[in-house]
Amino acid sequence: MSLNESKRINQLKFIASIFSMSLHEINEIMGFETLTMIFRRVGEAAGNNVVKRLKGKYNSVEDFAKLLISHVIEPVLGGGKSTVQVEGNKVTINLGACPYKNAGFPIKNMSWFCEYTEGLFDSAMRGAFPDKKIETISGDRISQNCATCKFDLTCT
Amino acid sequence: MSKIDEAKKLLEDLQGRVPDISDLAIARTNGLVIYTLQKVASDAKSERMLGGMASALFSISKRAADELLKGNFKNLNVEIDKGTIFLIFTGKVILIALTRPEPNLGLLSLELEDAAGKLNTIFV
Repeated sequence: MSLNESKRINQLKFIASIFSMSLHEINEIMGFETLTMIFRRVGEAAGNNVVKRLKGKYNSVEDFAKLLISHVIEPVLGGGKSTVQVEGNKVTINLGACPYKNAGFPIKNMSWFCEYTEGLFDSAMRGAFPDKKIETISGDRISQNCATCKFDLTCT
Repeated sequence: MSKIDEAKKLLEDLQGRVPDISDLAIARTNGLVIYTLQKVASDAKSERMLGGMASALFSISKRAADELLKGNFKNLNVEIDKGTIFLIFTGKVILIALTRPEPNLGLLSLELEDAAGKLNTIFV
């Protein structure tokens, strides 16, 4: 590892530490729900950006869901950690790993991170298919000791 | 007399006049507690919590006043089954009052507004 890489990692560790401590303080003072609201909104904003980035690259819900995996999820989780299934008007996205858990966050106590992912999927689908009614249900969550995170997106 | 002494006397007099008040504190908008009568905030941790919560409540209320009514925040009244939390922004600091259940709201708001005005002259 070069000196620059080592310096960069230390900078990132410092930022991650400040971020984690900030979350702790927000949770203690303003409460869990405030964090779920913030992360939901950040996820929605990220979802809107994804729609702009993928504009013109898909023709169907299935195409879009696959693009979400390849362009958004896999760069974070790595290849082969997520699947997408389409059955009729229902898209099921399964995530086999949690980036927050992998980064060392105690995800069971910080499940507001899940709101980010749900908000991202939900707003991305709504933005990509503005004429359709989208309903997002997140059932299994790794933060609740499930093996995977499961998101069912119904598009009618 | 120092500013803290003036504020302390003001809070003690206020509590003496309004028996419904169980605790009083003054905090800066960034959550730093300037002075408290030290009942709820009896140690450093709970004082930090009181200041933090006052700052958060003030900040959200101020944003709501501006965003929803295009107005300026004056005070916040949170009714709880075990009492009431009053927050008054003096223009410089936040006056926080905790009360016993079912306080005399008329007397309380009058006295708190008066105290807030006096605090404004102390913390210029």
